[in-house]
Amino acid sequence: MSAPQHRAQRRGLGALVLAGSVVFTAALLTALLFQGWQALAALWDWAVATNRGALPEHL
Amino acid sequence: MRSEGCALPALLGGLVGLPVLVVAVLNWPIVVAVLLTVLLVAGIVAVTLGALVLTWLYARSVHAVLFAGGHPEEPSPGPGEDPAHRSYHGGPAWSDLRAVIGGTWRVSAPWTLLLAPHLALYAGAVAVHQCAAWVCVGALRAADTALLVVRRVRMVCPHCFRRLGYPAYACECGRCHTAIRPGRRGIWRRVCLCAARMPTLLLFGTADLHTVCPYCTHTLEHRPGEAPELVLPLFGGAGAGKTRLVNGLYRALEQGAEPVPDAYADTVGEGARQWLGEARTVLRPSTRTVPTLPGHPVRGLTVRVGAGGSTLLLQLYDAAGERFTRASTVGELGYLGQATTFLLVVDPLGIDAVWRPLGPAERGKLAPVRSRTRDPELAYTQVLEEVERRVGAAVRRARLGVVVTRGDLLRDTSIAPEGPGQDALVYWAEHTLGLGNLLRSARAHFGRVRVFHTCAVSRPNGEVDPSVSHLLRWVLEGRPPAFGALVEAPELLDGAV
Repeated sequence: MSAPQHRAQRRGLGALVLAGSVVFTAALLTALLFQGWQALAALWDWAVATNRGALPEHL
Repeated sequence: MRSEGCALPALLGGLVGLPVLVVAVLNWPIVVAVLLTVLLVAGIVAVTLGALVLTWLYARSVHAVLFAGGHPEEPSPGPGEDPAHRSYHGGPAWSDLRAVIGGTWRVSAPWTLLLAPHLALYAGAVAVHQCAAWVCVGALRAADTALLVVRRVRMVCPHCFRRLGYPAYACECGRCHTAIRPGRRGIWRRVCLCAARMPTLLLFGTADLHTVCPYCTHTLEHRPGEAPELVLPLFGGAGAGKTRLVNGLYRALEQGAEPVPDAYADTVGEGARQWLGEARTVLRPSTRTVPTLPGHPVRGLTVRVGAGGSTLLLQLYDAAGERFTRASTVGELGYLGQATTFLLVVDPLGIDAVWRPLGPAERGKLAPVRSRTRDPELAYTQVLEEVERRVGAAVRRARLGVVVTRGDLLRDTSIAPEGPGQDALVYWAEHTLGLGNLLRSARAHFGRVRVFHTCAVSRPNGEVDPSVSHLLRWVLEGRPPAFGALVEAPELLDGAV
C-alpha cells in the first residue's frame, strides 16, 4: 500500500515551525545581547564612578 | 653566574609588576569591571552559540521528519477499522511531533529541555491544525445530518430491514468502508488502501459509490440517503391479493408518471425488476397471480419515484400470507418496525360471513378465486403485536389502510358496497364484512385508519383502476404534492374513520 505522504501539510507545518523557531531564536538572542549590553554599560558606569571616588584626591 | 641569570628576570618582573599592582589596587573597580566584562561576554557568546547549535539540531530534526520523508510509517488499520489511510489530522501530525522530539533528544539529550519553547510552538501549531480539522469534521457531519433530517431521509435496508445510520460503501478494489463520514481518515474525501479516492459524505457524492448495507453487506442499489424512503408493508392472509396490489400500486405510479415531463417511476434492483416488471401482465383480469411462497425470502421492492424535482424511494414489502399466522414468522419481518404506514389486505370472499349469504350462482362464479384465509383478524393481530413490540407507543403515530380487494369480482353482487364514500365503506366493512372488531381495535391502536375497496386489475385499455390510485394517493399523503399529483385526485378523501 502506498500511504499518502501528506506533503502539503507536512511542508506547510514544517515551514511554519522552522520560521517560528528562527524568529524565536533571533528574538531571544537579540534580547540577550541587549540585556548584556545594558549590564555591561551599568557595570562600567559603576566601575568608573566607584573608581573616581576610590582614588586619592590629589590623583 | 647562574644565580645572576635567574635573579634578573625576577628583578625586572618586580619592577614592572609592583607598579601594576599598585595601579590595580588603586583602581580596583576598573579591574573588577574588566573581569566581569570578560565573564559576561564569554557567557553571552556561549549562550548564543548554544542556542544556535540547539536550534540547528532541532531544525535538522524537523527537516528530516517533515521535509525529507523521515516521518514514521502509518500503522495499518486494525480489526474493525476502515481500510483507508489516515488523514494528517488523524494521527500522523502527532506522530511527526513525537518523531521530531525523539530525533532532537537523541542528539542533544538533556539540552533538549532548553528547546521547550520551540517544541511548545510546534505542539501549538499541531493543536491549532487539529482543532481546525476536527471543527471541519464536526461541521460537515452536522450539516449532513441536518440535511438528512430536514429532507426526512431515513434509510432502511430492504434485505435485513435494519435502519441504517449511514450506508457503507465498497471501493472498486472490493474493500468495504463502513464509516465513511468525515473523521480521522478524511474530511472531504478519504484514500482507500488501494489509493482510490472516495468522497466522505452524501453531500459530496457518496451515492455514486457502490453502496452496501453495513449490517448484512448486501448491495443497495437504490442509492440510499439521496431521497426519503417510504417503507410500505402489505400484510394479510394467503391469497388476499397482496402481490396483485403491489403490482397495481407500482403500475399506478408508472402510469401517472407517463404523461408528466420529468416524472418517472422506476424499479430499482433485480428483485424489484423481476417482481414488478410484469405488472401490466399481472394486472390483466385473466391472469392468475402466482402465489408468494412462504419460503421465499422477503425483500423490499424498491421503486424510485421522481416528480416536480423531488424523489421518493418507495419500499414495498410483500411477504407470503402464511408468514402472518405465527408470531415466530412475523417476528422475522423487521421492516414492520420501520414503517409508519401499513396496508392490511383483506379478501372479502374468504370471510365466511360474506361467503354464506351469496347465492349458488355467485358462489360458483367466485369459488375459484376465493382465498383460504377465513379470518383477516389473525394476520392483523399478529402484525399489531409485532409492531407494538418493536415501536411501542409510537404505533399511535402510524397509519393503517384496510384494503378490501376483489373490487372487480364483488361489483354487481349482493355484497358489493353501497357507495364509494368513506362512511359507506366503513359501514360496509363493519356490517357486511364483519370487520367491526378489527376496525375498533385499529382505531384504538393506530393513529389513523382508513378503509379502501380496490380493484387491482387493469381496465380494457390497460389503465389501472382508479381505486388503486386513490389508495396510492392516501399512501403518498404528507409527501411533496408532485407525488400526489401523479395519481388521480380522489373523491374519497372525505375524512378518516
